[in-house]
Amino acid sequence: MSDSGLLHCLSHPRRAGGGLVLLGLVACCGCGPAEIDVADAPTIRFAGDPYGDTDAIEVTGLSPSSLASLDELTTEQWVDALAVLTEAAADDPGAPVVLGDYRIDAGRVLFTPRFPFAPGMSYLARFAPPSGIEPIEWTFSIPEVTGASTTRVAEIFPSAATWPMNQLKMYVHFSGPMRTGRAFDFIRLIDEDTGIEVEQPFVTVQEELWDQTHETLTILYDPGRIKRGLVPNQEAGLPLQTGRSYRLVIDAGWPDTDGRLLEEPYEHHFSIGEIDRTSPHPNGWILTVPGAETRDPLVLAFGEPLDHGLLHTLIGVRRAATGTKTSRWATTTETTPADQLLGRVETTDAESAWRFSPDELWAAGRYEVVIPTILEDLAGNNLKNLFDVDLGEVPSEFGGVEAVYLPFVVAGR
Amino acid sequence: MRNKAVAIVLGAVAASTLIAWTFAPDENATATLTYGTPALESMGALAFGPDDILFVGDSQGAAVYAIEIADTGASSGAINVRDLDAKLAAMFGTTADDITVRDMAVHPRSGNVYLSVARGDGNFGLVKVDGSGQLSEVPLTDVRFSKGDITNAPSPEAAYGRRGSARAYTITDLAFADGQVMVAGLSNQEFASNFRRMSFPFSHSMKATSLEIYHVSHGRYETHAPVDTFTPYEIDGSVHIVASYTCTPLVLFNLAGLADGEHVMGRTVAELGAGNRPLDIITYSNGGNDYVLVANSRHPLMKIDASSFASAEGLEPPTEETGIGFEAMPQIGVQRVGERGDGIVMLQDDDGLHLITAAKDSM
Repeated sequence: MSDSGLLHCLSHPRRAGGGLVLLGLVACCGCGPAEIDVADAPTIRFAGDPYGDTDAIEVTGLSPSSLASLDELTTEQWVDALAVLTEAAADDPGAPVVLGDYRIDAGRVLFTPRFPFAPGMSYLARFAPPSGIEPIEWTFSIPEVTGASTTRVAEIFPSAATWPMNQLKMYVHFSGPMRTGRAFDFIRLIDEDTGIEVEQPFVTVQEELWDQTHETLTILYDPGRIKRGLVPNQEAGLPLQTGRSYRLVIDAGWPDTDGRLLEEPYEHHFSIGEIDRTSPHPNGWILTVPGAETRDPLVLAFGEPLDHGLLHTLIGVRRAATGTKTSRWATTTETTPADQLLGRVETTDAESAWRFSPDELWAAGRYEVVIPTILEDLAGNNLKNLFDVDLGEVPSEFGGVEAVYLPFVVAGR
Repeated sequence: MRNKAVAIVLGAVAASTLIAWTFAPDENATATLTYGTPALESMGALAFGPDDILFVGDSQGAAVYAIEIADTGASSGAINVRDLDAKLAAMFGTTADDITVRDMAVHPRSGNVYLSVARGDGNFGLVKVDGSGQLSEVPLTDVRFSKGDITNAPSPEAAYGRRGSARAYTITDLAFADGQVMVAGLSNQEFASNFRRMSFPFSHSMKATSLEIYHVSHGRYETHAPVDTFTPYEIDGSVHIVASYTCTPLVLFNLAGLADGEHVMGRTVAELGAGNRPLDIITYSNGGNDYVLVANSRHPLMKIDASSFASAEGLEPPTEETGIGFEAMPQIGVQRVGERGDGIVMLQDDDGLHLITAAKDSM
């Protein structure tokens, strides 16, 4: 028995019928996979100490020779020797086992699942070595995640009370990371006057449109219903109607990234104005310039609400070493990206104003605000084109222009 | 006139082929990969390329990985697996309703089916289904791979702000054609036709370049929209893309000779109707003819005669006169489709997830 670790029996069929053929070395001691000492009394439990973590399970109480014999098992043989099954699979003879890693470690058999045992799940572990002892079983559960989530919906953008009828997108800001893939189970749009839920107003993307931290979710209204001339627009019409009021409801129960459920529902009320088919244009913008030696904000007022996400990530401020521009705005620049200032961006007045507070004090001199032409209003119109371009109309002057530049001077004291 | 139309159709059929890989026979694409463990942060779209390479879309990691899947053996025979979600749940240690199959791809050499599978908590893995219906996880450790970064900034001028975590790009579909990896996706901030091309082999200095694709509705309204799902299709030796949009039309556009950032117009070749989202598109050949299959969220699985794409100019929503074959298939709840030898394998959602195979001749 003690030398069994050195020798293999080859081609041992898994399901022994009559007429076994043993190839290879016949002179192996105790030939046959994993002969367990009949004196062994193994137990299965969570790995580690009595209060061991639930990351893995172990089989203890096996003699060194039993362990050595088990060490010879192939992966396929391990699946039979130590099968871990979900509760549903335990009732189904043909079901696969839980994927995982088998090894002999520190005097025990260790099974580490490929994916962590999941909260709220029950499993069955069955240790059934091919010979030596009777199989043993252990049923175990992973506790549910308890406690309500401390995450809540922080804010929804646009924050304006009135949205255009061709509103394109919304951002839902959570105070912490959320579990993805559940969004459309928990978001409803209700017509305030009738109390009726609007059917399928949103675009469903399987992976959903989250930022990298999974704290901000982008929801798009179905552009097929918004765009002119498309079948969904003709058949079902725009999801939001001028003159009506709606509430967006985020239901409680949405799991956060740890699986804890959001405790409070959230509602956002808004009403619908006219269709917006006008691109933002710099002629309507007002720039308020701060004083030198301050960190006062530079304020750019657009005269209409713009997209919250893009306001935060697109617009920059650059220092101009020289410059002769006197016009209010230009489509060419006197600066380079290396001249960028670092600072903090805020939006105010229902996202109709952008404020930039620099990290360093403003030095007197020339600067430029850099506004890429893909900046959108609430209806998805950017400077270059309307969301819904009518080829019969005059094309925008910003076609082919990457950004608009607003030069300004911080006056010295 | 009629003879000319027939000649065009025949010529198109003769010239159209499944996309040929652009590597020379003695130059293997895997030579550009190195051993290691790809640091995938998520796994979404899947697409096979040349020489056993599987392209994997990782939206969370803003990357596309090229991974060698040295699949041994060939599997023949129709693949039919009932209650795939229950089986995957058993393997992943969870319940069937917690399982999502994000995409499906058929290994062109072995015929095995590969699935990108995720649990609700975000854990994911690549699962292989062989010809006998056996499921196994494909470990992605110590494999040959390379990584292509999907640049996130819309342009050099727009590289400002808190872009680190605020901006994201969700990959909705992938394909390899014409020596490049094509990527369709959606930004979480700007609404644009986010169709990108990445040269392959991937290199550190490579940037994904985007094309501004649009199509015209009613001869008047120009629609820029994200491409939802697409497939490459060669007509007269030139690579085209058949794309379906969030706004529903099926559009064909020519990739040949396009410059980066170019404004590309597509032709509407089919109108799929409201209340539906196309989920997957493939092209396949049978009996000397090319077809397009579109799997839909609500409509039936649709089969379209691709030979009609090469004929007729400037299609507006097609009518009967254009002669486009447009048939509803009997299989219900089809989410993904793949060509597999003489058959079409389908991922079906019908009281559970299943894999079913239909012979091309029967479709």
